[in-house]
Amino acid sequence: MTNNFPKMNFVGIDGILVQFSDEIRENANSAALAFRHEVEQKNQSSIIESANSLTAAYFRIDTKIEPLDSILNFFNEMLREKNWYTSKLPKDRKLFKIPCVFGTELAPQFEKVIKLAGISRSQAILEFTTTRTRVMTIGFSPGQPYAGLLSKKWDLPRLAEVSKSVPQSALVCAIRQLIIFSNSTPTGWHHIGQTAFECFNSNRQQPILLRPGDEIIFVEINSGELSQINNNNADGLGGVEILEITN
Amino acid sequence: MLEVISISGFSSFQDMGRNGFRSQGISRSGAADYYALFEGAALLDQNPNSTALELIGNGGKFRVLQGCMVALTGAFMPASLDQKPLAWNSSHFLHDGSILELGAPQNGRYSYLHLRGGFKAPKIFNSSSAQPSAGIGNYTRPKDILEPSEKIPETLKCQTIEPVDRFESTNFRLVESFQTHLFTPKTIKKFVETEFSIDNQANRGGVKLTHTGSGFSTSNQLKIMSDMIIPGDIQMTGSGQPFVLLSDCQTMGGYPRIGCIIPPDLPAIAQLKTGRTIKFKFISRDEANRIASKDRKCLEIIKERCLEPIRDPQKMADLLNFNLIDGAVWAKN
Repeated sequence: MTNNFPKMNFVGIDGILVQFSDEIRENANSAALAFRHEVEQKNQSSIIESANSLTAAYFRIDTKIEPLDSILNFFNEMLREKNWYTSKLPKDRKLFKIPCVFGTELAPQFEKVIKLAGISRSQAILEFTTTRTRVMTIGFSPGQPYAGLLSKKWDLPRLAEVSKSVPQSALVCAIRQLIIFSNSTPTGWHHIGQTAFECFNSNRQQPILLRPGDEIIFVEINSGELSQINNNNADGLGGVEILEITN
Repeated sequence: MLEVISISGFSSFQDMGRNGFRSQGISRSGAADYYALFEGAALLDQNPNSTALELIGNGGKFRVLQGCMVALTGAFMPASLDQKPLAWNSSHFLHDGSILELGAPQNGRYSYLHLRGGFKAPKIFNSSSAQPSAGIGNYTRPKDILEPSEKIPETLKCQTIEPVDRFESTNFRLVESFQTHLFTPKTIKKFVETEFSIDNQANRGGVKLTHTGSGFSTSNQLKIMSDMIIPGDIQMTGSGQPFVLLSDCQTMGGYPRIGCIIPPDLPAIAQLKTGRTIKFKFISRDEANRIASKDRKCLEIIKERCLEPIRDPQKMADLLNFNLIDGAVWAKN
């Protein structure tokens, strides 16, 4: 890729971040997912925890078990092993078809956002209901997906003034990404849709369903249909249809 | 075993928190003041990861349903058993039917009630730390029955502990983190020269800081890609206002971080009350590691801080129960 990436950096006193890009890109996301996966396979006792962000792999390390230099060497050697940017996505990926109300009083920022993106309501909905987005990482709160990449017209900055609160299962967008919120939260992201899909629900046998590499597509519903789903939603599935991705 | 009669709003069970679930978006959580967990564990001769009740705000009132041994640590609260004062930073026997009362914290925000054997609480993602805002566990509420997770039959002497010094801190140490370079050297210089106040917007997720003068921004701040955040990070929100992240902070965020407070300084900043003023200082990674390892060693030998309490006869309401006269007579013989 560029001369600067991949590169290693520090997070606090005990974290190493292996970064594959400083801007959001699908190949850097694939690289980060694959790199973390392969490091995990090596079962290093000095690595106590790992996770992915959009374009980086994070490792929490214990330098009492192994000196920092030796841990950094290990990462460097792994990085040199291959071109991580051409890595395949994880196996056993799934497609989530999630019912969603776009706009209305349930998602008040939709109209403003399509104006910013310069498209009509029907064009926007066509894009969200026909283009699959990839779950690039899970983070912020339990089971919450950051999905992308949307086309360039969705490269909208977050709001400078954080909105008071958007509800659980809200669909929000900014910087070419979509998020479905696990919990009600204040945010600078634009609230464009409302689903009934709970990213985390402890009533389910599997409280967290989405994994990096999975794909999301939306099915447009109206607010009456959303209330119907909500009336019978103890498992928090919100009417989702989950399909295996075969490739 | 205790029954909650009243308790302040956001009090909850906490232990040392969660490890290994960050990849699913699960926060670390755990006691805001981990020194208090170590102190409670030393007083009750148990594991520091035993579940304790973290009290925030106005304390609480508890009915003792079954005699038990407890310890009180963290921010000092006026404490009493059946209206007779109890020493803070100490362990105590509570007898059946008595009422334990804890008042508002005086020198900090977070106070801890520990039970011998630890409180019984469901383990979610390997920890009993509650994070109700994320859908994990619940706040502790009136009428809750608080039981020990294991009953330990043998008795233990009541002790008192010299607490780890952390309630008067004014200087906090930072290391650079992967986004420090997004700030210009001039902004960083201004940051370490600025005196900040602890805002009243403070909870287990983080503490807002206020100061006079302009904010601390980076260029293109609203389009920075979300990435890992950890407790201790100081992030600059939209207007460039610093926010110190604590144990319930999310796993990822998009606000730029100027640096990360070293773990041994985190209990101190969590405990600071609204209006207290502080300053920051960057230290090298080597120095930070030396301080962290010294801190670990101090916690390994925390039991050395325990003493048997010296009881003041003036304050002993139960003085007549002690067989003081017999001893004197026996000595004469």
